[in-house]
Amino acid sequence: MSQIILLSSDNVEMKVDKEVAERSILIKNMLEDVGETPDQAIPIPNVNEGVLRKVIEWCEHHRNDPPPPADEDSDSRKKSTDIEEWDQKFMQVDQEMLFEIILAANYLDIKPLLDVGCKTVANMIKGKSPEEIRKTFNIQNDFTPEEEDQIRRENEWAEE
Amino acid sequence: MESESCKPNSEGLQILPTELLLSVFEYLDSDDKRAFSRCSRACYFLTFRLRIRGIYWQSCYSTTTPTFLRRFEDGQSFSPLVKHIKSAKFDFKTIQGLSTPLTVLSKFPAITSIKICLGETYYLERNLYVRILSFLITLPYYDNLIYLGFVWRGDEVTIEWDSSYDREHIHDDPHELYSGAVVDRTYTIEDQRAELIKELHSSQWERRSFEWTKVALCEEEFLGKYVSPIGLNQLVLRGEVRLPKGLRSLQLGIPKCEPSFYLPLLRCEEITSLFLSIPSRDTAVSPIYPELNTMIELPRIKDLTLYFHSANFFHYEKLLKQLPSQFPNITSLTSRGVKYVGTFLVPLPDFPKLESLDLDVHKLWEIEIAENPLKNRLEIGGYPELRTFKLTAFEDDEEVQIICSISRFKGLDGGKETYGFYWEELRNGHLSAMVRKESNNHENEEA
Repeated sequence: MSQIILLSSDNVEMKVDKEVAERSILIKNMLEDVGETPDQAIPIPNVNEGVLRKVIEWCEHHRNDPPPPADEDSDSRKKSTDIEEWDQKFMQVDQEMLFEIILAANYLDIKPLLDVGCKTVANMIKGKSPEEIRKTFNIQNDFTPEEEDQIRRENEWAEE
Repeated sequence: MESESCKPNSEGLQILPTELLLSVFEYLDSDDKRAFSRCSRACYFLTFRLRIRGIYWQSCYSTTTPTFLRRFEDGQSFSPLVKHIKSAKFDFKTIQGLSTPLTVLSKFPAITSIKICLGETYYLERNLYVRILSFLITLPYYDNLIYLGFVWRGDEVTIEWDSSYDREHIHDDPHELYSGAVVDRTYTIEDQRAELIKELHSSQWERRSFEWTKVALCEEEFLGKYVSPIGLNQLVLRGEVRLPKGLRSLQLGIPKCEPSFYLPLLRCEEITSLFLSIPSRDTAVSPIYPELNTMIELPRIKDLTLYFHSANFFHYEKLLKQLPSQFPNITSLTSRGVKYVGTFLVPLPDFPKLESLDLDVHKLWEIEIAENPLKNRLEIGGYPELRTFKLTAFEDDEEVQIICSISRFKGLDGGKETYGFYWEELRNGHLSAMVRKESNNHENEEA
């Protein structure tokens, strides 16, 4: 099985099966453009070693997944926040890593991983009060009392 | 479901670009988005476009701009959000101070939908229509509007008349005199045409009522001079009263709606949906301007809703007959107000392209009453494309619909077409139960 080398932003080389790396549409397109398996490392300038290793771990686990269905952007699918067990455990990381994985999935164009990341963040918000959400994400409340009052009475003036 | 080890990050969610945060919010329901929006100003701004479609201003008598609207003004805290406001709805008990909310509209350049609900509009409706449209035309985005709705309850003005007022306050409108529609004097001359005299009487009376109402309301400046039916037609023909070029849907929920109100639709190329309020008397579909003594044909309308003010559909015989010529391409027809489905189906004319028919009923048990007339109408070929038949009722203030999917079976050897009815019930948009399955079994049918 052919392998390629990925180079993280902090100059760490990682050998990966081509099939695994091609879970990234960015890398897949790049390899198709080159036409042959490159000998040199492919630089991934936006992703550091730690994050890249996590992303590769996810791609390894999902290497045999079927391609996402054609209607994957439909609203009904997006509303479900169900995450399979392995992915849930995979995403049990600190917030900084979680956000970095989401950014890397977006950059590398790995849609299923991006979805899992977004669902994980959504699940951290669901069912919580504003105060609980603030605590979860370390958000500072910077509303003026007048603004807070206006927002509390939003249903009197806003059409949803 | 939540990652137990997720500890707050010092940079927080801000590390994610807006498009990714918006992807996260797609998984949240409205309560969760609302909770998130209340965390901070940044969170509020970020989720605003996903939660809030427009502004709503309800008022009984107040004419001052509410605090929330002032926050959207230049330099105020919500001013960056103005671009996300797509709709405006005003619900006013009276027309007093109506010019203030209309002025406010100019601050929201992205609006594509405007709905104006008014209470006391009796005798004032034509003038109001002209004045409101004249006001809206001045908006720079007027031609971008895709929906315009007028929902007027037509209540009479509750303020007591000024007893000192007399007829000398009524000034002749030279414009009307010029057009030949003299309303003040013609009825006094001897004329054998009783109908004309009656009409002029009616017009005279309406004009007086307008003047009295206007005086009582003290909205002289806003309402302007009395606009007669002919006057409105002329304004439309001259293009001074017109509807937005990009308009797709017009709701004329105006109790005394006249054909002239939708005459400007002739110039709207995108229009497909029309809601008309039908007064409780026989109504002509053509405007009364002599030069337009032909029917207004609106072939672009596909989706027509008629709101009848009288349950006695015999009042509407003339109007019903004219509908297929006036709206030759409708695929969806909704009727509200008649509520006697079995008998209403009899005078309802043929619509060759109709795919969906929605009628309101008092009680949903009228299914059985509806089926036979429906079968009869289908058998005589009145609705060759009809696939969906809906009955709508309100039960405990909840809208309930039963929807009939119509199957058609071709007869063998040129035999008669037969029909199958499959009924389902919908409450608040959710399918709740199949209530009845009826098949019109014939020996020679085939699927």
